[in-house]
Amino acid sequence: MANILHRNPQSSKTRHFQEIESITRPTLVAGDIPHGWVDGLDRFSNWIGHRKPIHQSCVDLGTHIYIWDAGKPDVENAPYAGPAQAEDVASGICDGLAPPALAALYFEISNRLKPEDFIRLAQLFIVNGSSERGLDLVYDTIDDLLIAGNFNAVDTLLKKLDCAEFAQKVLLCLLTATLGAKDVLSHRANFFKRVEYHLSGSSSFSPKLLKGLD
Amino acid sequence: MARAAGPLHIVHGLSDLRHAAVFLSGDIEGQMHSGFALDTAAISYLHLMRHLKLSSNVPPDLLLVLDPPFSDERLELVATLCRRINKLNRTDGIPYGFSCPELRFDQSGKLRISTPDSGLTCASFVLAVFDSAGLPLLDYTTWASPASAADQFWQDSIINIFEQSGVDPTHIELLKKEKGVPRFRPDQVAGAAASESAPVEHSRAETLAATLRRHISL
Repeated sequence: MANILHRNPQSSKTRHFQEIESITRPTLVAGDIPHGWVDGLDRFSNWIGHRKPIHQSCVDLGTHIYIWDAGKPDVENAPYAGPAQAEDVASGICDGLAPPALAALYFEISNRLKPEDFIRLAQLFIVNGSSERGLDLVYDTIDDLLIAGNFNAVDTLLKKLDCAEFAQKVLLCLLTATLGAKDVLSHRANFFKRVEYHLSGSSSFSPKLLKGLD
Repeated sequence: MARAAGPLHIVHGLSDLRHAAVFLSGDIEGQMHSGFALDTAAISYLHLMRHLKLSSNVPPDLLLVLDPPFSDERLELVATLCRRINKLNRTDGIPYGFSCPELRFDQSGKLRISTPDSGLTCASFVLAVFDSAGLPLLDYTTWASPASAADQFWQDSIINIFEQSGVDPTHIELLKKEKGVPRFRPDQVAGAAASESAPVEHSRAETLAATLRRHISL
């Protein structure tokens, strides 16, 4: 347990990175992963679509795992929660992955999360009832890439994402966040069509929902 | 949640607020002022208070909050955009100016004012946010250009205030170059937010603005 770092979640990816970079990184190697966590971590890695189990990736790369207390929206800025809550987080992960307002697992492989990891994490927030946090994470992730001129990363993300895996809110947020850069994102038009096709399968779908986002 | 009821779709309380709404307020200098009222944990308001002063404080002399003619789902993203804009611009602010609010996001995705644009007014800031979310509130093409004599008089008064306040002369030069461009008034923007649909044409925005002014004076 001593090697696990606990932090409150950061609503801004930028702040998240800054914080990671400003601290001494503890390394969590195979022997440090509490026995009961391995299944939960692997279930999580499977859920977010990583082909290789996270705990194995960490062993291979000698990298780190960070656990954040997702908290409730009203305790977003609560201070460090301590080991007791870490147990809750671990148990939440192992028992069924992120019960509402309890747990989010941030992991880091090769020192950087990929944009799609953030989008998947945003999805986790949203389905667990933290919409504001989830939408902020989508918008921050995309906008930070666009501001940095990293249009290829955004374009690749739009090309790769499977609409069926994401909530309507995530898809609409992706379209909104990329609207201003649509002329330089070659895969966005196709992404819009895929979103439209996916959402139109719902009985409650109205074309007005996507008006102005193409 | 259903849109606020009544002919003007006025939001009467937090429980009526569908993520993002448009407020109309009086101003400390006697002018009307507009901005966003938000139902978010992070901020409750966002408005361009004055030159380089983006505020998330309660606006002075709040008069009305109008529920815009857009779906809950899209208004939630307007609120998300407001939080993002607040994060990016709360320190440096947004310059005040007469530029057209259309397409304020450049290719980098950041809300920014680049030369030769001077900046936004409180009202065109609201329009720029809606526009950037793919929800144009006004039909800009129906605004007369050049602006009316009254609106140009107002633009002159802003330039005078800036000159007397020691605002950067380069910025004042940009304002002077833009003098005569269409002006989008706070009551027109609030009126458009009370409309049944958007984008709203100039004549309809004027009618709704007059209705709002009558409502306020009651």
